[in-house]
Amino acid sequence: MATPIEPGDLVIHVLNVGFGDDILIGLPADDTGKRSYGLVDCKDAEKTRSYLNKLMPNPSERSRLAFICATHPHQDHIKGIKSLLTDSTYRPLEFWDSGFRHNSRTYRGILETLATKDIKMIRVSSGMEWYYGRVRITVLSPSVALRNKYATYGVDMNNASIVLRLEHHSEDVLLMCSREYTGRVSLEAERTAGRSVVILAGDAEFDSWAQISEEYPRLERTSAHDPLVKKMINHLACGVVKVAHHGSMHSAPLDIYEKMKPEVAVVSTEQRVSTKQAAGRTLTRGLFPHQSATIALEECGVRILTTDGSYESQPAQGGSQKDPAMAHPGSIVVVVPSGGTPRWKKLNDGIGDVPDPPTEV
Amino acid sequence: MGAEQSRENVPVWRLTVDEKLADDLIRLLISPLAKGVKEFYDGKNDWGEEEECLVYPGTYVREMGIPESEAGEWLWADLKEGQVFLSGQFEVVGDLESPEKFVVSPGQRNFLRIDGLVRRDIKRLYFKLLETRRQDGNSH
Repeated sequence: MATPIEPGDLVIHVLNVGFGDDILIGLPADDTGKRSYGLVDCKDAEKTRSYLNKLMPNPSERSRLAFICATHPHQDHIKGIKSLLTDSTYRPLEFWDSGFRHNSRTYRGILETLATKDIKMIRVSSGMEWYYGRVRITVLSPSVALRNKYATYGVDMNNASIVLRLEHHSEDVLLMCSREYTGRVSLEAERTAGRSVVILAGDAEFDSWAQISEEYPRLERTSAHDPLVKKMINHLACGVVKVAHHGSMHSAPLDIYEKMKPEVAVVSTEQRVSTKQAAGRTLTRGLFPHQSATIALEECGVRILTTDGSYESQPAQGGSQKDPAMAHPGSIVVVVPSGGTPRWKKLNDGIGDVPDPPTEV
Repeated sequence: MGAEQSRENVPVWRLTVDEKLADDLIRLLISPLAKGVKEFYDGKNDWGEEEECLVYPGTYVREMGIPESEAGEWLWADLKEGQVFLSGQFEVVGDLESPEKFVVSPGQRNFLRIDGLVRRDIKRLYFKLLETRRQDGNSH
């Protein structure tokens, strides 16, 4: 049953822009009841602007974005950013950059625009944090180790992606993360600890996840380490993940999804079928999402939603089952109450349409 | 090349290898030389908007405008993200390694990789931006 979206909820709007990312973050309202927004990647400036106008129908409510984060400078993530940097209403207060410099004209245009605007540019790396009310945003990647290798050791743009962890604080979650526990933590307890966490994975691939695993390990007390490790900590536990790299075969290994244990995985995509010759046979398969990603997610009992409607599945007795009711294109809205379990809704918009933001989910 | 403008109407194109999406699929970014520009480098006003173009092993030579006589020099496997090429009717003024500029030259078919030059400019711009912000106390 749908529940009204409350001013205090964290709301993630994954817009359907075809193959690319365009994710609006509705930060919880402040004491005056005013909600501010951040933007993670922007492929379609016009759709983003029009959707923001619908989120804030009263022009007097509109204000500058809190931030625009360009996870990495591939075209399907930054195409629309320049337009918003110059927007008289939504020009952001901060611009977050991965530090990977692309040679495209689009990326250069962003830099040239930043040079002329009053926008704080931040070159981010893992460990940096921002607080917006009760929402803590932590950068999981790129690590400094990866960043130092951009120009010399072949770290590619996808692995330079900014990966964000958004946690909507709640006392019980903090307690769960920091308590000294007395025995093995159940799967359910870990799920509870991460339930109000959202991970936005950009286009991170294996090199990036390897660094994240190193820097944000899942710690668990074992008899061998007792009493050195006293806390149950799993920074990757989350309720919702925006799947990396449109669910490609290199998006994340099963091991990562096992640590995340999300309830919902959102894939922003437009499926492409590829045919190639491999070992003397013709191999035809969908690339985005690729079955290696969907199988890994289903293995962890995750609900899968795609913006193009190409692969929707839900946990079922004995495994997973397809969900034909969701097999249509549409933006996906996820609501994360403080310390609560996420709820989601899929809208019905095509790539060029501007949907009405839901008031209840 | 360039869905909106035909190759005949634009003397020179700037091509960027944006992303290798699969072994057999690359997204190129293509921008036409701005109207009326006869001498160019990689300046702010030299190029039009970038358009995306998906290319495959069987189509990239044609889509990138690589002269047939040079197709063997530009192999699919050698295309990497971040490479930038000039394609069309132009000639280099000055040293090929460090050109002074490029000029439109009708009838002179050329295909040249230039990301070494572009990278220097982008890096300079990026650090100038960070430096400016640092003076404001705004940069991280």
